[in-house]
Amino acid sequence: MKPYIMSLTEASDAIQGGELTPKRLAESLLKRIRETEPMIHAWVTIDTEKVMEDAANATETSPMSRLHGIPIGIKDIYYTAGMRTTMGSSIYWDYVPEIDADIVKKIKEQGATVLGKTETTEFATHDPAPTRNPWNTNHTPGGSSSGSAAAVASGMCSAAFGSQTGGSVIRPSSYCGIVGVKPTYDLLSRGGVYPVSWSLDHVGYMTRIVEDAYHILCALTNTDKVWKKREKPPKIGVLRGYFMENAKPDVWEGYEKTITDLWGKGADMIDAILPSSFKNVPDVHRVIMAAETAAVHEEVFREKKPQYGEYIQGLISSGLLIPATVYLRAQRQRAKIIEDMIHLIKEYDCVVCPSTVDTAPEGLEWTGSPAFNAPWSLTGLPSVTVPMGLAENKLPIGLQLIGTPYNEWSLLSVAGWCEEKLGFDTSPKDPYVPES
Amino acid sequence: MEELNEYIEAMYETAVNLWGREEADKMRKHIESTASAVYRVGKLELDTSIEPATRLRHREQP
Repeated sequence: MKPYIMSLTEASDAIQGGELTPKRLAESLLKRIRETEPMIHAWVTIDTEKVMEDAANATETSPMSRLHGIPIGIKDIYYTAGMRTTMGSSIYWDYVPEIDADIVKKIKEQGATVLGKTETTEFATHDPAPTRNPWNTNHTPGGSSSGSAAAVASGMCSAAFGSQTGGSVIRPSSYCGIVGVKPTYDLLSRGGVYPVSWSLDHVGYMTRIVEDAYHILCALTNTDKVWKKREKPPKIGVLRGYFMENAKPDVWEGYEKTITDLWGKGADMIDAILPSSFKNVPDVHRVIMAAETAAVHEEVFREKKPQYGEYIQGLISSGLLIPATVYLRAQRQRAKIIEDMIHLIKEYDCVVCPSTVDTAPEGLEWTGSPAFNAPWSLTGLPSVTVPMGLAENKLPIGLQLIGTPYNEWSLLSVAGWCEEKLGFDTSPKDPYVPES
Repeated sequence: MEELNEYIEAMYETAVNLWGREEADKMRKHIESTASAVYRVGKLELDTSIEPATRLRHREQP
């Protein structure tokens, strides 16, 4: 098997077993990047020499963890010492941080290699990156973690980090047919990650299989757990209501089929009724995000407004107009929504809904709606997406699983059970470039 | 509805005062969307048992 095809778990097993060296793995991924990147545009910066130097060092040392010798993509809003970090903005085009973000520091300590910096929408909001979806290059991969999702899906790396304030990890993962994880708020440090909206921002990551996601979470949290396939069918709360009203027909059809399939495989699929406070999610999320984004950018924005993209200009400008009392009122409503959602979810192993409203939109101007992810960013509850199939247009659709706070391991074990039963092929996707 | 439109208009006029009409017009869609959210959040009934703090309380308190 060509090393770039391997999942993180397979590559790690092969490195620890002496059948693969970090050097050979890095060479294989860099070759894959050379072949694939011209069609996908997933990367802002790759320092090939440094990658090979790190891989050579990892080859000379004994494996110390699951991440030893594994090259990983990092969204370009994470600070990387000595490596350009642009935030997807012309304002920071030449910015080279002196420090690593906490997550970057952590993966380096575990022996992983920073493969490069992946494309992000401007300041991780909505003004798009140039990245294309490997399933159809005429379509967006989603955002804001556009490059990370496209790179993992197309086999340029087996894992990459992103971040989510609305839907920026789960949505691109779903659009690209891979696994995405947004852990509980503050489980993973946001230190050294450029903020969008501090009380909504989450560090998250993408892989091609759930087991990889489990190992990464263990590595990042210094947890000594062993991945075991779940045998017992889970008890799953099925969300409809708001999701049914807003999903496009092909997504909803795929979701209902998945619910039936999982039920047929033994899962207990029970209707879970959303609390009445849930209807306030879009407004509460909007107020908090606009106010906090405005606060983050206020000073630079006054000086360099013309250098900001159209969407973020609007977000910041309107955020500056929000009364403080309304921002605080939104935070109080948020507390109520969190309480109600935890009360609902704790009755099940997890609840599910579609990962996105639609499949990846055509064109690169719009990275898609975060409407099905923002509730879990607002509540800080852990969410995972696994691919559940293809829509009629041959683009992936995802199943989103949501758990109670700090129950990521249990959530991932249910996600692994669903992944196995749904049987979606997540091996690296050769980019499909339609004839013009 | 009328009250909401008045609120949106008031926020738009504030934007005009701050950045001029041309800039405010460019951002009109964002202003409308944020003003609508602000208006609705401002009208939500508050649960008096929830303190007006901004912390998330996922962990059990000691």
